[in-house]
Amino acid sequence: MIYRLPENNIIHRLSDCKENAKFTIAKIDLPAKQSAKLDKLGVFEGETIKIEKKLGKSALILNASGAIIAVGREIADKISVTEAL
Amino acid sequence: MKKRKAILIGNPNAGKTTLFNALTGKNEKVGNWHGVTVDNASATAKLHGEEIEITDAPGIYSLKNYDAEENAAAEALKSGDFSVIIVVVEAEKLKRGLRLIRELRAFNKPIIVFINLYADFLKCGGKLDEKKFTESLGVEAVCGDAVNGVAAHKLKEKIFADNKVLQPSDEDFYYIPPKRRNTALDKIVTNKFLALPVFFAIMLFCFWFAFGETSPVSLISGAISRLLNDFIAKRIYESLYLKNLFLARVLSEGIIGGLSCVAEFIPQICALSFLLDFLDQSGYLSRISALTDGALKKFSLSGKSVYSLSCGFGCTAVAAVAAKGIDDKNVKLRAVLSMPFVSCSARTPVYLYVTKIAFKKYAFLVIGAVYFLSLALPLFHSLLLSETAAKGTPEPLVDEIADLKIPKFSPLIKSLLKTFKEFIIRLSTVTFCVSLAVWLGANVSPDVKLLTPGEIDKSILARAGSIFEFAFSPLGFDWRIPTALLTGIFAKESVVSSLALLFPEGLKLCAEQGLALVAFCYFYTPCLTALSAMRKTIGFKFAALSAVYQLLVAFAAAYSIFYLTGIFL
Repeated sequence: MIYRLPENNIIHRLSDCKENAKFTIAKIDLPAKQSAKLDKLGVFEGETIKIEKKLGKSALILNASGAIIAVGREIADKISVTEAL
Repeated sequence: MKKRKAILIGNPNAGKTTLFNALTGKNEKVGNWHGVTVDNASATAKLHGEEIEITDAPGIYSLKNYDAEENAAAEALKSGDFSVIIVVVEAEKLKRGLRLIRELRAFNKPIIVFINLYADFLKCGGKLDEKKFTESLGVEAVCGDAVNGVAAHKLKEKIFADNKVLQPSDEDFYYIPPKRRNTALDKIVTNKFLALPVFFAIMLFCFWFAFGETSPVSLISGAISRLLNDFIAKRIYESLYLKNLFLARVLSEGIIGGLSCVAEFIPQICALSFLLDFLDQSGYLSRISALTDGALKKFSLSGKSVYSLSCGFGCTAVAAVAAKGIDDKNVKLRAVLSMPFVSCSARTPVYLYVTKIAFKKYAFLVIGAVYFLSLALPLFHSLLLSETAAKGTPEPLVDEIADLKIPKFSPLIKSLLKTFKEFIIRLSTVTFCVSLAVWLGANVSPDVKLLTPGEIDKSILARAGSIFEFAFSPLGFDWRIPTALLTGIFAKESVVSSLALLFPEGLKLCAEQGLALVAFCYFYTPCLTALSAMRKTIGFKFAALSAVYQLLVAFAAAYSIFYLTGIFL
């Protein structure tokens, strides 16, 4: 799914993004409990994260504020990101 | 005078327990894993004759919206009258730790921040203006490494000083995060084609190293057995039998004979425990959690169950305690109820003893099959539970994983010594008492007369064991097998010493009986320590249910195997 923003910055699903690139989180569309957990780990709207590795179809390894976070594909599908400047 | 108190708080896996051990001289379990510390632990730190009680709280990310796992830390903070709060943060993850530090200011207590793994941080290009950092947050700070005694001593001096609440300036401070090292090893262990073969190869090496016939550890085990049986027991018997035959037999057969059957497995248990700790502290197990999450979801488990289920290979009780860290309650229940299908190391001596008799040089194939089943059966059992007693879909994976690194030697050795100490305590208490009781029961008649080795049928134990004989007689076992298995309820290792004592002429088994006995030992009710740990994690009802269920499964498996192999062999 791809949206086009007014300033021509494209929003991607995190799960569709490539490894070793940095992204800024635009929107997290998850239930409150899962959003709160991501927030505690340093993954929240406006924060810049890096995809360290994609573990097949099951999970993604992210770098958020120096911490390495593993998120399942079903979580990554609900995180919208833009390429970090 | 009331003793002052301090509390160690920080994000999960920040190094709190390592620091706690360094400050107090304790040896609490540490791990490179979220949820290793699941309860508050307290101990006293001493400096210049003064004492402070230090509490090590489980990891917490924030005081707002904390979940059940973080509850113990939040409650400890609220209820304890602490004179100082020590916040442990990893230098590399300082930015995330700031939120917790700012929230803790609400308690209006002096705060000391211990910035852990500082040398690595600097080595990888990280930079921090310490002075501005302390001024900005209104805290004292100590930079160092939790395993380093010098840093711990520096922190201790600050804890014992007369600390005051400082006012924060909330100004920005200079902080450059380090560059992360994405090592070649990291790429290999997370490679989609190599990850699973590497995992199986590592696990296979661990089990060969601990239990392989030609491994150095097995050679040491053999030496211990020879020392106890051929040297010490023989010497005691020879020097005492003319003076006091009863005492000579109690000491040489009952105590040394019984204990030696279990003591020879000490090197193997320690080796396995050391290797699993090495994998845990290297950060490898947390990668396996992320890697296996997708696959385990198919069995209604999650990646977080991998650690507790892996611990099951060491000790079911430890595994059940480790499962407290699984936040998804349905997954936790399925994982704990499936744990008895992971063969614990205390059962391994029983397999070794039985298979060496029944299968001789092919014993390793049977033990290999048990370990293969230990990998597969818990998964299928969990799937079965998800459709019956413990329904519910696993929650999606969101978890922090540890950096891949070579673990520090000192915590590994401390953990090894702890395992060794616990094994010796069990050996000198439970196994000692069970061995002595079994020997006395097998060699004393109901009218309290010492029997000769050929008169075991007239013993107290023969009378008691014959109650259960009916359940095992179709398998060709007399009262001695159920009696030995009953002693395994106290500690599984005791089955071996009991078998050795009850069969002084040597146990004789055909292949069908050997397989049936191994199957029964693999499946039957976990020991009381494990059941107690399961009760604490999933409640009395499910722990009791598991105890009965495992016994029924054990009978079903033993009978099926005995009759099926009878048809084919």
